[in-house]
Amino acid sequence: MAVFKKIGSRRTLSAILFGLIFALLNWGLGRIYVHREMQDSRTGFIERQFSQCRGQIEILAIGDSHMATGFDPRFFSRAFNFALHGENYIYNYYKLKVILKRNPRIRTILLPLDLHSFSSWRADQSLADFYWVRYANYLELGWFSREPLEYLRKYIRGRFFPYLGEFAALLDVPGQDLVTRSAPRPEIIQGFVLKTGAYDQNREKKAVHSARLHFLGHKAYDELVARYFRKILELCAARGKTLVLIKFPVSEPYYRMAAKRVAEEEIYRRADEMIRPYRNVRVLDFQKLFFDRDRLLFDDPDHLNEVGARILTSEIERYLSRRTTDGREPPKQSDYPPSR
Amino acid sequence: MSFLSFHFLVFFALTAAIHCILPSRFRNLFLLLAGYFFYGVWQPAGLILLVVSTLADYLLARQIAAQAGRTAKKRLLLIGLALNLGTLAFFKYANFFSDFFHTLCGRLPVSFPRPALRLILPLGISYYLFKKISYLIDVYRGKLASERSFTRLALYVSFFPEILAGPIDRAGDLMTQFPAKNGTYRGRPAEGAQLIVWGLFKKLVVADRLGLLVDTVFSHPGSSRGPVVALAAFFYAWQIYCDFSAYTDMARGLGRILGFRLAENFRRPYLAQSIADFWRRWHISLSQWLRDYLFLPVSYSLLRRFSLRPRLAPQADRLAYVAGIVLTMLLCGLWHGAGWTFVVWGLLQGLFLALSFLTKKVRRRVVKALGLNRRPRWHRALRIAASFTLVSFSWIFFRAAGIKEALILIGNLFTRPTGISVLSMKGLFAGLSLPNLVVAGVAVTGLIVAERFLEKSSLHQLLAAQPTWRRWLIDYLVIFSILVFGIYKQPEFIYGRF
Repeated sequence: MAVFKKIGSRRTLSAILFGLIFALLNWGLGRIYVHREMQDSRTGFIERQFSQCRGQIEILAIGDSHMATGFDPRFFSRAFNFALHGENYIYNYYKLKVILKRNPRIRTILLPLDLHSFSSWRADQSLADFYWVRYANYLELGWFSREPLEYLRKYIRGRFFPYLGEFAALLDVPGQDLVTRSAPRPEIIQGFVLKTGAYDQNREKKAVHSARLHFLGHKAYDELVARYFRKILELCAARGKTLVLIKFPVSEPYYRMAAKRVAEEEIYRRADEMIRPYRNVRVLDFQKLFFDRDRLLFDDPDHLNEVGARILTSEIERYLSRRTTDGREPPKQSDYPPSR
Repeated sequence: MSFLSFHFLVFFALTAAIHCILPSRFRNLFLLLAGYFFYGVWQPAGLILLVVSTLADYLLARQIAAQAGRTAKKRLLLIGLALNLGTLAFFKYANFFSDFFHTLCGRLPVSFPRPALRLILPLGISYYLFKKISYLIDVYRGKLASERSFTRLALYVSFFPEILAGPIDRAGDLMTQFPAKNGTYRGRPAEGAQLIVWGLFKKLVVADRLGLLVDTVFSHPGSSRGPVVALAAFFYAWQIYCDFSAYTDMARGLGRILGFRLAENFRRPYLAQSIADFWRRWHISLSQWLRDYLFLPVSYSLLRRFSLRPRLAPQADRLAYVAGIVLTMLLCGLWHGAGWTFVVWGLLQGLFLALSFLTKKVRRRVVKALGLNRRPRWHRALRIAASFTLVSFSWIFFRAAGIKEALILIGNLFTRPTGISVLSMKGLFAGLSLPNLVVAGVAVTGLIVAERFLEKSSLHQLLAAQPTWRRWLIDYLVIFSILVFGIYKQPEFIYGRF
């Protein structure tokens, strides 16, 4: 009996030792990978810029690529554009929750309200789980989405195995198409991604491609995304923050293509119903603002270039400064923009 | 719920834990319900077919065993065969043959309507129907007593580690392992885990990486030339082997954890020295099934007929072998899928086997004349290389989208690459970047070395014979290779489609 016990305890000990060595190696590899990714990627760069401004920001822009390329925070003294490509309301909410806790001075939050804002097109398709696991509560998300196992998988991967299958990034192999490194890093100022191109060639083709990306195979109005939109509204109201929802300008061909795939009136009607009870929320509609100048002011069918962003931000600035300096009741959606 | 999904991991962990702690009298029923749940999640409608057809076979086998007369037994067996083969033909080949006749009649002044209903293939149907057929025949032949418990028979048919892609275990081998009422848990978790990890390595690191180049070349058959096509054919040979044997290893590993020993399906097939040898090593459970229930009965029947005819009698054994093997391999091809590419692949295999049988004496003379019999190592290497080349060539038909595409690829095989594609790595290894190529090359080399060691003993024995530090080193190397070099894009197993 004693012999069996001895063998059993030896086996248990060696299994524990094996597991510990595995955990140590796994942790090391995970750290190396995350460090490399955050060091080299655009996302990591923006995160570092943001952490330098911690505690000083008063105006925060958050959202997807429309915001990332369309809002130039240099127009304001204490603003930061923390929008990331593909980020939707689900991830906006979790990120905002963490940021507001750490940055109590923030008083105004800018958020996009576009045709594709409620689409089921998810941010986690373009950003790794290891990034979102810092912000998102995957267990809650799994519960809400009724896919608990899927989000548990994401959590485990993000938290414990971030480097899964990423040999090229881990070993720093050159010439690889890495998700976050692939595009040459454009100039980034206070999180704002400067684009310098012009949308003047293959306009229809590019518009079809962009509209497909946002809507093909995805629900145009996803209940889960809408649920998180409501949570953002509640969060901002509870913290006493002003939420400015912006319908970003898009090019005329993109608008045409998108309108074929999504019932615009229905989407915005539902959004209005959700917004109505909140007095701290304003909507600025710039959707068709640049239809006549879209060749010059856009980098691609639905992303503004630097000039377009500057013009748009000046419009936003005009609205925000009027609101803050003269203390008047801010204009309602139908009143704005006041002049074209 | 693929073996590679997180959902399956959770499902299996729960199933194994409950199976382990459950009193033995409930284990069979529990595993059956787990199997039905596993299958039902994939395809709820297919589950109905699975249950109903199992019940039919259960009743038929009971009747076969109860009959005293041979004629009555035979009649019941034929009903069972007709039911099973009819089901297979209906679900797997109805679309194929209706399309074929529709196309054929389109060229003749006859009309053959294409059915509006497109049938969905029930998952694993080819595997579980073959298991049921072997059970019925074994009961008919008296090799096996008919099973009294429906639960045990249903568990044999729907045992979840092997229901989707085999191995096609015989009832006599698997059912005897099912827990008795007072049995104890006989699982070997460590051994099972080793097999699963080895399977994951073959699938995620080797097969799916080789698939990057293979998919590019086979989806654009016209744009690849000479060495690229040859490379893609060789890569596909390794891809399909690693993919399928990975599935089998994982199934066997899952079985070991639950306390069952499933049949070995592969025995280093690319070290085969002839095509016949290849089929003794490749998809063993299927080739043995085909040998026992198709080739031998057909060949003996033909032999008897040919022997009775004076003109054919002197060559009766050769004729019976050739006819039997070509027919068997043709049906083997068709078993894989309802498509002309599989028919041609099967015919090619049959032809290779027939030619290999017919030219035995001639080849022996050539070997002697070349002096290869005095250099057995060279001779062996040559035979292995020749067999591998022939098998890889036939895989072109197996993988191609259609006959036309396969012929284009074969035509391009003998063309010279353009200057650009020789100079550019991208052109030469379409779809596979240099780092991917290096990983694939190292992984395949590692696999070949490992296979050499595994020829003499099983994976578990091989690892158990190593000192602890070396065993751990191997374990860590394989596990971290999977984690770092694996491809995680919701991959499916190739043989899961058949």
